[in-house]
Amino acid sequence: MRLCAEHISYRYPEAVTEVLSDVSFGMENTEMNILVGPSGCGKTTLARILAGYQKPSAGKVLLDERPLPQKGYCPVQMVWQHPEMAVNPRVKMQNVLDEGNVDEYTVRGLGIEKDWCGRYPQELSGGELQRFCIARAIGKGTRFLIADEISVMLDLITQSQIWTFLLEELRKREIGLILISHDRYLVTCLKQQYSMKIIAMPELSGDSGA
Amino acid sequence: MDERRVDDRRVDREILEIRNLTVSFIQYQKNTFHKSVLPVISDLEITVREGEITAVVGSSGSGKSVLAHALFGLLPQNASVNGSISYLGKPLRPGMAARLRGREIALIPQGVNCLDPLMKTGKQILNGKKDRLSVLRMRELLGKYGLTRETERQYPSELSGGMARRVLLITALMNRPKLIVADEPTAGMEEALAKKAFADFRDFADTENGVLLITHDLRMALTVADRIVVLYAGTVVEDASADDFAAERLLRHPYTKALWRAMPEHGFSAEPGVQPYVSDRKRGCLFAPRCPDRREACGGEIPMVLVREGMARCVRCEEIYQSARQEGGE
Repeated sequence: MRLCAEHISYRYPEAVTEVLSDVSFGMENTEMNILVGPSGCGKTTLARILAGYQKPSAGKVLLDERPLPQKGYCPVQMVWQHPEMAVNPRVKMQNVLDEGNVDEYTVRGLGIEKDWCGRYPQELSGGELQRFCIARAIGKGTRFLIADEISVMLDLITQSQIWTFLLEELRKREIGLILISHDRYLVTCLKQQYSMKIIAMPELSGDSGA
Repeated sequence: MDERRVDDRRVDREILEIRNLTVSFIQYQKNTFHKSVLPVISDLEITVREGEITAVVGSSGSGKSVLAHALFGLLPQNASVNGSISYLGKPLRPGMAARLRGREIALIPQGVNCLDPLMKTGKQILNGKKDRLSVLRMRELLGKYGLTRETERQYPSELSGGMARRVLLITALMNRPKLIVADEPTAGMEEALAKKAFADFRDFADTENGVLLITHDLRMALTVADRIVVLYAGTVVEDASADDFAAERLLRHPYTKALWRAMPEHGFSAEPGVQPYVSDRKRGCLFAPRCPDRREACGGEIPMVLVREGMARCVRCEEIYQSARQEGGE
Protein backbone atom coordinates (compact mmCIF):
# COMPACT_ATOMS: atom_id res chain seq x y z
CA MET A 1 0.00 0.00 0.00
CA ARG A 2 1.27 3.47 -0.81
CA LEU A 3 0.51 6.70 1.01
CA CYS A 4 1.00 9.81 -1.09
CA ALA A 5 0.66 13.52 -0.52
CA GLU A 6 0.50 15.44 -3.77
CA HIS A 7 1.25 19.16 -3.98
CA ILE A 8 -0.23 19.98 -0.63
CA SER A 9 -0.54 23.57 0.53
CA TYR A 10 -2.03 24.76 3.76
CA ARG A 11 -2.71 28.17 5.22
CA TYR A 12 -4.17 28.62 8.69
CA PRO A 13 -7.24 30.84 8.70
CA GLU A 14 -6.22 34.50 9.06
CA ALA A 15 -2.53 33.67 8.60
CA VAL A 16 -0.60 35.59 5.98
CA THR A 17 1.90 32.97 4.87
CA GLU A 18 1.35 29.32 4.09
CA VAL A 19 2.65 26.72 6.56
CA LEU A 20 2.92 24.17 3.80
CA SER A 21 3.39 25.18 0.23
CA ASP A 22 3.34 22.61 -2.55
CA VAL A 23 4.56 19.71 -0.40
CA SER A 24 4.77 16.27 -1.99
CA PHE A 25 5.59 13.07 -0.17
CA GLY A 26 5.16 9.36 -0.67
CA MET A 27 5.95 6.13 1.15
CA GLU A 28 5.21 2.39 1.16
CA ASN A 29 3.71 0.60 4.14
CA THR A 30 7.00 -1.24 4.69
CA GLU A 31 8.98 1.97 5.19
CA MET A 32 9.79 3.77 8.41
CA ASN A 33 10.59 7.44 8.11
CA ILE A 34 11.61 10.17 10.52
CA LEU A 35 10.35 13.64 9.67
CA VAL A 36 12.64 16.37 10.94
CA GLY A 37 12.77 20.15 10.64
CA PRO A 38 12.85 23.30 12.76
CA SER A 39 9.82 23.99 14.94
CA GLY A 40 7.08 25.86 13.14
CA CYS A 41 7.96 24.37 9.75
CA GLY A 42 4.67 22.47 9.53
CA LYS A 43 5.55 18.92 10.57
CA THR A 44 2.47 18.51 12.73
CA THR A 45 0.25 20.18 10.14
CA LEU A 46 1.46 17.74 7.49
CA ALA A 47 0.87 14.86 9.91
CA ARG A 48 -2.70 16.01 10.58
CA ILE A 49 -3.39 16.30 6.87
CA LEU A 50 -1.93 12.86 6.10
CA ALA A 51 -4.10 11.30 8.81
CA GLY A 52 -7.18 13.07 7.49
CA TYR A 53 -7.77 15.31 10.52
CA GLN A 54 -7.42 18.43 8.41
CA LYS A 55 -8.25 19.30 4.80
CA PRO A 56 -5.43 20.88 2.78
CA SER A 57 -6.11 24.21 1.06
CA ALA A 58 -4.76 22.67 -2.14
CA GLY A 59 -3.51 19.25 -3.19
CA LYS A 60 -4.64 15.82 -2.06
CA VAL A 61 -3.75 12.80 0.05
CA LEU A 62 -3.99 9.47 -1.74
CA LEU A 63 -3.93 5.94 -0.39
CA ASP A 64 -3.27 3.53 -3.27
CA GLU A 65 -4.47 6.18 -5.75
CA ARG A 66 -7.74 6.69 -3.83
CA PRO A 67 -8.60 9.46 -1.36
CA LEU A 68 -8.68 8.61 2.37
CA PRO A 69 -11.96 6.92 3.35
CA GLN A 70 -14.49 9.32 4.88
CA LYS A 71 -16.36 6.59 6.74
CA GLY A 72 -15.25 3.65 8.85
CA TYR A 73 -11.77 2.88 10.12
CA CYS A 74 -9.03 5.03 8.61
CA PRO A 75 -5.94 2.98 7.66
CA VAL A 76 -3.76 6.00 8.50
CA GLN A 77 -3.75 6.44 12.26
CA MET A 78 -2.12 9.10 14.38
CA VAL A 79 -0.81 9.17 17.96
CA TRP A 80 -0.62 12.61 19.56
CA GLN A 81 1.83 14.36 21.82
CA HIS A 82 -0.64 14.92 24.68
CA PRO A 83 -2.54 11.71 25.46
CA GLU A 84 -4.69 13.42 28.09
CA MET A 85 -6.20 15.54 25.32
CA ALA A 86 -6.72 12.60 22.98
CA VAL A 87 -9.13 10.61 25.15
CA ASN A 88 -12.67 11.37 26.25
CA PRO A 89 -12.52 12.33 29.95
CA ARG A 90 -16.03 11.02 30.56
CA VAL A 91 -15.60 7.41 29.51
CA LYS A 92 -13.56 4.64 31.06
CA MET A 93 -10.36 3.45 29.43
CA GLN A 94 -11.90 0.19 28.17
CA ASN A 95 -13.76 2.32 25.61
CA VAL A 96 -10.47 3.64 24.25
CA LEU A 97 -9.37 0.06 23.55
CA ASP A 98 -12.75 -0.80 22.01
CA GLU A 99 -12.49 2.16 19.62
CA GLY A 100 -9.47 0.58 17.96
CA ASN A 101 -10.63 -3.05 18.16
CA VAL A 102 -7.41 -3.92 19.99
CA ASP A 103 -6.41 -7.54 20.55
CA GLU A 104 -5.21 -9.08 23.79
CA TYR A 105 -1.62 -9.44 22.55
CA THR A 106 -1.16 -5.71 21.98
CA VAL A 107 -2.68 -4.90 25.35
CA ARG A 108 -0.20 -7.18 27.09
CA GLY A 109 2.72 -6.10 24.93
CA LEU A 110 2.23 -2.44 25.82
CA GLY A 111 2.08 -3.31 29.51
CA ILE A 112 -1.53 -2.20 29.98
CA GLU A 113 -2.86 -3.72 33.20
CA LYS A 114 -6.41 -5.09 33.43
CA ASP A 115 -7.17 -2.84 36.37
CA TRP A 116 -6.46 0.34 34.34
CA CYS A 117 -9.28 -0.38 31.88
CA GLY A 118 -11.89 0.35 34.54
CA ARG A 119 -10.46 3.77 35.36
CA TYR A 120 -11.17 7.22 33.98
CA PRO A 121 -8.40 9.05 32.07
CA GLN A 122 -7.74 11.48 34.93
CA GLU A 123 -6.93 8.54 37.19
CA LEU A 124 -3.97 7.49 35.05
CA SER A 125 -0.58 9.07 34.44
CA GLY A 126 0.56 10.41 31.06
CA GLY A 127 2.69 7.35 30.39
CA GLU A 128 -0.17 4.98 31.15
CA LEU A 129 -2.58 6.94 28.95
CA GLN A 130 -0.14 7.03 26.07
CA ARG A 131 -0.01 3.20 26.12
CA PHE A 132 -3.78 3.15 25.54
CA CYS A 133 -3.54 5.71 22.74
CA ILE A 134 -0.87 3.66 20.99
CA ALA A 135 -2.87 0.45 21.41
CA ARG A 136 -5.93 2.17 19.91
CA ALA A 137 -3.93 3.42 16.93
CA ILE A 138 -2.49 0.04 15.95
CA GLY A 139 -5.82 -1.76 15.64
CA LYS A 140 -6.41 -4.41 12.97
CA GLY A 141 -7.03 -2.09 10.01
CA THR A 142 -4.02 0.19 10.46
CA ARG A 143 -1.57 0.36 7.55
CA PHE A 144 0.25 3.58 8.42
CA LEU A 145 1.04 5.11 11.80
CA ILE A 146 1.99 8.73 12.40
CA ALA A 147 3.71 9.35 15.74
CA ASP A 148 4.01 13.03 16.62
CA GLU A 149 6.36 13.47 19.59
CA ILE A 150 4.71 10.56 21.36
CA SER A 151 7.34 10.02 24.01
CA VAL A 152 8.32 13.48 25.24
CA MET A 153 6.25 13.27 28.40
CA LEU A 154 7.47 9.81 29.29
CA ASP A 155 10.30 8.82 31.56
CA LEU A 156 13.23 7.07 29.93
CA ILE A 157 12.30 3.51 30.87
CA THR A 158 8.70 3.83 29.69
CA GLN A 159 9.93 5.50 26.49
CA SER A 160 12.19 2.61 25.64
CA GLN A 161 9.56 0.01 26.65
CA ILE A 162 7.00 1.55 24.33
CA TRP A 163 9.30 2.07 21.34
CA THR A 164 10.75 -1.42 21.56
CA PHE A 165 7.33 -3.08 21.44
CA LEU A 166 5.84 -0.67 18.92
CA LEU A 167 8.60 -0.93 16.33
CA GLU A 168 8.74 -4.71 16.60
CA GLU A 169 4.99 -4.84 16.02
CA LEU A 170 5.01 -2.36 13.13
CA ARG A 171 7.71 -4.29 11.35
CA LYS A 172 5.94 -7.63 11.86
CA ARG A 173 2.59 -6.36 10.62
CA GLU A 174 4.13 -4.20 7.87
CA ILE A 175 2.70 -0.94 9.09
CA GLY A 176 4.45 2.15 7.74
CA LEU A 177 5.69 4.72 10.27
CA ILE A 178 6.16 8.46 10.12
CA LEU A 179 7.94 9.60 13.26
CA ILE A 180 8.20 13.22 14.31
CA SER A 181 10.66 13.98 17.07
CA HIS A 182 12.93 16.73 18.34
CA ASP A 183 14.96 14.38 20.50
CA ARG A 184 18.18 14.01 18.58
CA TYR A 185 19.43 11.09 20.69
CA LEU A 186 16.21 9.16 20.15
CA VAL A 187 16.28 9.87 16.41
CA THR A 188 19.89 8.73 16.05
CA CYS A 189 19.25 5.59 18.07
CA LEU A 190 16.08 4.55 16.20
CA LYS A 191 17.64 5.38 12.85
CA GLN A 192 20.54 3.03 13.54
CA GLN A 193 18.66 0.19 15.21
CA TYR A 194 15.75 0.05 12.78
CA SER A 195 17.42 1.52 9.68
CA MET A 196 14.92 4.34 9.33
CA LYS A 197 15.19 7.09 6.75
CA ILE A 198 15.41 10.74 7.75
CA ILE A 199 13.33 13.16 5.70
CA ALA A 200 14.02 16.86 6.11
CA MET A 201 10.79 18.82 6.00
CA PRO A 202 12.03 21.77 3.88
CA GLU A 203 13.16 19.37 1.09
CA LEU A 204 9.58 18.25 0.50
CA SER A 205 8.40 21.60 -0.87
CA GLY A 206 8.44 22.70 -4.47
CA ASP A 207 9.00 20.45 -7.45
CA SER A 208 11.36 18.01 -5.73
CA GLY A 209 8.37 15.69 -5.01
CA ALA A 210 8.72 12.07 -3.96
CA MET B 1 23.07 7.98 62.95
CA ASP B 2 21.87 11.27 61.59
CA GLU B 3 24.76 13.29 63.04
CA ARG B 4 27.24 11.01 61.37
CA ARG B 5 25.58 11.45 58.04
CA VAL B 6 25.71 15.20 58.32
CA ASP B 7 29.40 15.06 59.24
CA ASP B 8 30.17 13.03 56.18
CA ARG B 9 28.78 15.69 53.92
CA ARG B 10 30.35 18.85 52.71
CA VAL B 11 29.94 21.77 55.06
CA ASP B 12 28.18 24.17 52.68
CA ARG B 13 25.32 26.14 54.11
CA GLU B 14 22.02 24.38 53.57
CA ILE B 15 19.23 26.56 52.27
CA LEU B 16 16.52 23.95 52.26
CA GLU B 17 16.48 20.69 54.16
CA ILE B 18 13.61 18.28 53.82
CA ARG B 19 13.67 15.33 56.20
CA ASN B 20 11.27 12.37 56.40
CA LEU B 21 8.59 14.24 54.52
CA THR B 22 5.39 12.28 54.14
CA VAL B 23 2.35 13.61 52.30
CA SER B 24 -0.88 11.63 52.32
CA PHE B 25 -4.29 12.28 50.90
CA ILE B 26 -7.28 11.25 52.96
CA GLN B 27 -10.24 10.06 50.94
CA TYR B 28 -13.65 8.69 51.67
CA GLN B 29 -14.40 5.45 49.92
CA LYS B 30 -17.36 5.35 47.60
CA ASN B 31 -20.75 5.29 49.38
CA THR B 32 -19.26 4.60 52.81
CA PHE B 33 -17.94 6.53 55.77
CA HIS B 34 -14.64 4.67 55.69
CA LYS B 35 -11.61 6.84 55.27
CA SER B 36 -8.61 5.64 53.37
CA VAL B 37 -5.17 7.19 53.44
CA LEU B 38 -3.12 7.39 50.25
CA PRO B 39 0.53 8.17 50.94
CA VAL B 40 1.77 9.91 47.79
CA ILE B 41 5.14 10.87 49.23
CA SER B 42 6.92 8.92 51.95
CA ASP B 43 10.21 9.49 53.77
CA LEU B 44 11.47 12.07 51.34
CA GLU B 45 14.88 13.58 51.98
CA ILE B 46 16.21 16.46 49.89
CA THR B 47 18.81 19.11 50.58
CA VAL B 48 19.52 22.27 48.59
CA ARG B 49 22.78 24.03 49.41
CA GLU B 50 24.08 27.47 48.58
CA GLY B 51 25.46 27.71 45.06
CA GLU B 52 23.82 24.45 44.03
CA ILE B 53 21.16 23.38 41.59
CA THR B 54 19.45 20.25 42.84
CA ALA B 55 17.23 18.43 40.37
CA VAL B 56 14.44 16.12 41.48
CA VAL B 57 13.93 13.62 38.66
CA GLY B 58 10.98 11.27 38.57
CA SER B 59 8.42 9.86 36.17
CA SER B 60 4.83 11.02 36.23
CA GLY B 61 3.05 9.75 39.30
CA SER B 62 6.21 9.76 41.41
CA GLY B 63 5.02 12.74 43.47
CA LYS B 64 7.16 15.54 42.02
CA SER B 65 4.51 18.22 41.79
CA VAL B 66 3.06 17.27 45.17
CA LEU B 67 6.50 18.03 46.61
CA ALA B 68 6.49 21.53 45.11
CA HIS B 69 2.96 22.14 46.33
CA ALA B 70 3.82 20.90 49.83
CA LEU B 71 6.70 23.39 50.03
CA PHE B 72 4.42 26.26 49.15
CA GLY B 73 1.40 25.18 51.14
CA LEU B 74 -0.68 24.74 48.00
CA LEU B 75 -2.00 21.26 48.81
CA PRO B 76 -5.75 20.67 49.01
CA GLN B 77 -7.57 20.41 52.36
CA ASN B 78 -7.55 16.61 52.48
CA ALA B 79 -3.76 16.40 52.44
CA SER B 80 -1.74 15.80 55.57
CA VAL B 81 1.93 16.68 55.72
CA ASN B 82 4.39 15.17 58.20
CA GLY B 83 8.13 15.49 58.59
CA SER B 84 10.41 18.46 58.83
CA ILE B 85 11.28 21.17 56.34
CA SER B 86 13.87 23.68 57.41
CA TYR B 87 14.96 26.85 55.69
CA LEU B 88 18.44 28.23 56.46
CA GLY B 89 18.66 25.98 59.49
CA LYS B 90 15.32 27.04 61.01
CA PRO B 91 12.21 24.86 60.85
CA LEU B 92 9.75 26.17 58.32
CA ARG B 93 6.44 26.60 60.16
CA PRO B 94 3.23 27.44 58.31
CA GLY B 95 3.19 31.10 59.42
CA MET B 96 6.79 31.64 58.49
CA ALA B 97 6.31 29.78 55.22
CA ALA B 98 3.51 32.16 54.27
CA ARG B 99 5.80 35.15 54.94
CA LEU B 100 8.71 33.74 52.95
CA ARG B 101 6.72 32.51 49.99
CA GLY B 102 7.05 34.79 46.99
CA ARG B 103 9.76 36.75 48.80
CA GLU B 104 12.68 34.57 49.77
CA ILE B 105 11.31 31.37 48.29
CA ALA B 106 9.85 31.67 44.81
CA LEU B 107 7.99 29.15 42.70
CA ILE B 108 8.14 29.00 38.93
CA PRO B 109 5.00 27.04 38.16
CA GLN B 110 4.70 24.37 35.52
CA GLY B 111 2.21 26.03 33.21
CA VAL B 112 2.47 29.41 31.55
CA ASN B 113 -1.30 29.58 32.06
CA CYS B 114 -0.55 30.50 35.68
CA LEU B 115 -0.30 34.10 34.46
CA ASP B 116 -3.48 36.12 34.91
CA PRO B 117 -4.92 36.52 31.40
CA LEU B 118 -6.71 39.76 32.28
CA MET B 119 -3.80 41.64 33.79
CA LYS B 120 -1.01 43.36 31.89
CA THR B 121 2.39 41.73 32.28
CA GLY B 122 4.05 44.68 34.00
CA LYS B 123 1.40 44.81 36.68
CA GLN B 124 1.72 41.10 37.32
CA ILE B 125 5.47 41.28 37.72
CA LEU B 126 5.14 44.19 40.18
CA ASN B 127 2.46 42.32 42.13
CA GLY B 128 0.80 45.41 43.56
CA LYS B 129 3.91 47.47 44.19
CA LYS B 130 4.11 50.93 42.64
CA ASP B 131 7.31 52.43 44.06
CA ARG B 132 10.12 53.63 41.81
CA LEU B 133 12.64 51.09 43.06
CA SER B 134 10.44 48.16 42.15
CA VAL B 135 9.71 49.59 38.71
CA LEU B 136 13.42 50.09 38.12
CA ARG B 137 14.15 46.55 39.29
CA MET B 138 11.53 45.21 36.87
CA ARG B 139 12.98 47.15 33.94
CA GLU B 140 16.48 45.98 34.80
CA LEU B 141 15.31 42.35 34.79
CA LEU B 142 13.29 42.78 31.59
CA GLY B 143 16.37 44.19 29.90
CA LYS B 144 18.53 41.37 31.21
CA TYR B 145 16.26 38.77 29.65
CA GLY B 146 15.93 40.52 26.31
CA LEU B 147 12.41 41.85 26.80
CA THR B 148 11.49 45.44 26.03
CA ARG B 149 9.28 47.91 27.88
CA GLU B 150 6.65 47.04 25.32
CA THR B 151 6.21 43.71 27.16
CA GLU B 152 5.01 45.54 30.30
CA ARG B 153 1.95 46.78 28.45
CA GLN B 154 1.08 43.45 26.86
CA TYR B 155 -1.37 40.83 28.07
CA PRO B 156 -0.13 37.24 28.55
CA SER B 157 -2.01 36.13 25.43
CA GLU B 158 0.16 38.48 23.37
CA LEU B 159 3.36 36.81 24.55
CA SER B 160 4.99 33.80 22.93
CA GLY B 161 5.58 30.67 25.01
CA GLY B 162 9.23 31.49 25.55
CA MET B 163 8.44 35.10 26.53
CA ALA B 164 5.82 33.93 29.03
CA ARG B 165 8.41 31.61 30.59
CA ARG B 166 10.81 34.53 30.97
CA VAL B 167 8.06 36.62 32.55
CA LEU B 168 7.51 33.85 35.12
CA LEU B 169 11.23 33.79 35.82
CA ILE B 170 11.36 37.59 36.22
CA THR B 171 8.34 37.50 38.54
CA ALA B 172 10.20 34.97 40.67
CA LEU B 173 13.38 37.07 40.71
CA MET B 174 11.69 40.40 41.58
CA ASN B 175 12.10 40.11 45.34
CA ARG B 176 15.65 38.75 45.16
CA PRO B 177 14.80 35.27 46.48
CA LYS B 178 17.26 32.90 48.09
CA LEU B 179 15.66 29.78 46.71
CA ILE B 180 13.81 29.13 43.46
CA VAL B 181 11.65 26.05 43.04
CA ALA B 182 11.06 25.44 39.33
CA ASP B 183 8.45 22.85 38.27
CA GLU B 184 9.21 21.62 34.72
CA PRO B 185 10.47 25.09 33.73
CA THR B 186 11.42 24.19 30.18
CA ALA B 187 8.52 21.96 29.13
CA GLY B 188 7.66 22.71 25.51
CA MET B 189 10.56 25.12 25.07
CA GLU B 190 12.94 24.92 22.15
CA GLU B 191 16.43 23.73 22.92
CA ALA B 192 18.10 27.11 22.46
CA LEU B 193 15.63 28.84 24.80
CA ALA B 194 15.91 26.03 27.34
CA LYS B 195 19.68 26.45 27.34
CA LYS B 196 19.24 30.16 27.98
CA ALA B 197 16.91 29.43 30.90
CA PHE B 198 19.46 27.03 32.38
CA ALA B 199 22.22 29.59 32.07
CA ASP B 200 19.96 31.93 34.06
CA PHE B 201 19.49 29.33 36.79
CA ARG B 202 23.25 28.78 36.89
CA ASP B 203 23.91 32.52 37.28
CA PHE B 204 21.29 32.72 39.97
CA ALA B 205 22.72 29.76 41.92
CA ASP B 206 26.29 31.03 41.60
CA THR B 207 25.45 34.14 43.61
CA GLU B 208 25.00 32.10 46.82
CA ASN B 209 21.45 31.04 46.06
CA GLY B 210 19.83 27.67 45.54
CA VAL B 211 17.59 26.14 42.90
CA LEU B 212 15.34 23.12 43.24
CA LEU B 213 14.50 21.91 39.76
CA ILE B 214 11.62 19.48 39.39
CA THR B 215 11.51 17.55 36.12
CA HIS B 216 10.88 14.22 34.42
CA ASP B 217 13.65 14.80 31.91
CA LEU B 218 16.86 13.28 33.24
CA ARG B 219 18.98 14.36 30.30
CA MET B 220 17.93 17.97 30.67
CA ALA B 221 18.61 17.84 34.42
CA LEU B 222 22.10 16.47 33.78
CA THR B 223 23.03 19.46 31.65
CA VAL B 224 22.39 21.96 34.43
CA ALA B 225 22.17 20.41 37.90
CA ASP B 226 24.91 19.70 40.43
CA ARG B 227 22.98 17.03 42.27
CA ILE B 228 20.33 14.65 40.98
CA VAL B 229 17.73 13.28 43.37
CA VAL B 230 15.92 10.32 41.81
CA LEU B 231 12.32 9.87 42.88
CA TYR B 232 10.49 6.58 42.46
CA ALA B 233 6.93 5.94 43.64
CA GLY B 234 7.00 8.85 46.10
CA THR B 235 10.32 8.28 47.74
CA VAL B 236 13.96 9.11 47.07
CA VAL B 237 15.91 6.10 45.86
CA GLU B 238 19.15 7.90 45.13
CA ASP B 239 20.85 11.22 45.69
CA ALA B 240 23.85 11.44 43.37
CA SER B 241 26.16 14.02 41.92
CA ALA B 242 25.45 14.79 38.26
CA ASP B 243 28.96 13.58 37.39
CA ASP B 244 28.03 10.08 38.57
CA PHE B 245 25.83 9.72 35.50
CA ALA B 246 28.93 9.56 33.31
CA ALA B 247 29.06 5.77 33.76
CA GLU B 248 26.67 3.12 35.00
CA ARG B 249 29.08 1.72 37.59
CA LEU B 250 29.19 5.09 39.38
CA LEU B 251 25.46 4.91 40.08
CA ARG B 252 24.07 3.22 43.17
CA HIS B 253 20.41 2.19 42.98
CA PRO B 254 19.14 -0.40 40.47
CA TYR B 255 16.36 1.98 39.35
CA THR B 256 18.84 4.74 38.53
CA LYS B 257 20.92 2.19 36.65
CA ALA B 258 17.85 1.08 34.70
CA LEU B 259 17.11 4.73 33.86
CA TRP B 260 20.67 5.16 32.65
CA ARG B 261 20.50 2.07 30.45
CA ALA B 262 17.19 3.23 28.97
CA MET B 263 18.75 6.41 27.54
CA PRO B 264 18.88 6.08 23.74
CA GLU B 265 22.63 6.73 23.70
CA HIS B 266 23.28 4.07 26.36
CA GLY B 267 21.60 1.11 24.70
CA PHE B 268 17.88 2.03 24.90
CA SER B 269 17.18 -1.08 26.98
CA ALA B 270 13.58 -1.59 28.04
CA GLU B 271 13.21 -3.06 31.52
CA PRO B 272 9.71 -4.50 32.02
CA GLY B 273 7.23 -3.37 34.65
CA VAL B 274 5.66 -0.11 35.80
CA GLN B 275 5.86 2.14 38.83
CA PRO B 276 3.35 0.90 41.44
CA TYR B 277 0.18 2.96 41.79
CA VAL B 278 -0.28 4.84 45.07
CA SER B 279 -2.88 2.45 46.50
CA ASP B 280 -0.79 -0.63 45.63
CA ARG B 281 2.34 0.45 47.44
CA LYS B 282 3.67 -1.95 50.06
CA ARG B 283 6.41 -1.86 52.65
CA GLY B 284 10.04 -2.15 51.72
CA CYS B 285 11.69 -1.28 48.44
CA LEU B 286 9.06 -0.27 45.90
CA PHE B 287 11.35 -1.11 43.02
CA ALA B 288 11.86 -4.69 44.27
CA PRO B 289 9.27 -6.33 41.95
CA ARG B 290 11.23 -5.04 38.94
CA CYS B 291 14.72 -5.41 40.38
CA PRO B 292 17.02 -8.00 38.77
CA ASP B 293 18.91 -8.43 42.05
CA ARG B 294 15.95 -8.83 44.42
CA ARG B 295 16.36 -10.56 47.79
CA GLU B 296 14.39 -11.21 50.95
CA ALA B 297 15.66 -8.15 52.79
CA CYS B 298 14.05 -5.92 50.12
CA GLY B 299 10.69 -6.38 51.85
CA GLY B 300 11.83 -4.71 55.09
CA GLU B 301 12.54 -1.13 56.08
CA ILE B 302 15.44 0.25 54.09
CA PRO B 303 17.22 3.39 55.30
CA MET B 304 19.04 5.86 53.08
CA VAL B 305 22.74 5.19 53.40
CA LEU B 306 25.80 7.03 52.29
CA VAL B 307 27.59 5.41 49.37
CA ARG B 308 30.54 7.15 47.74
CA GLU B 309 29.56 10.80 48.38
CA GLY B 310 25.95 10.10 47.51
CA MET B 311 22.95 8.47 49.16
CA ALA B 312 20.88 5.51 48.12
CA ARG B 313 18.02 3.47 49.54
CA CYS B 314 18.87 -0.14 48.68
CA VAL B 315 19.70 -3.23 50.75
CA ARG B 316 22.79 -3.88 48.68
CA CYS B 317 24.06 -0.38 49.36
CA GLU B 318 23.29 -0.96 53.04
CA GLU B 319 25.45 -4.11 53.02
CA ILE B 320 28.28 -2.34 51.26
CA TYR B 321 28.06 0.52 53.72
CA GLN B 322 28.00 -1.81 56.77
CA SER B 323 31.00 -3.77 55.59
CA ALA B 324 32.91 -0.61 54.75
CA ARG B 325 32.18 0.72 58.24
CA GLN B 326 33.38 -2.47 59.90
CA GLU B 327 36.60 -2.35 57.93
CA GLY B 328 37.03 1.29 58.82
CA GLY B 329 36.38 0.60 62.52
CA GLU B 330 38.86 -2.26 62.79
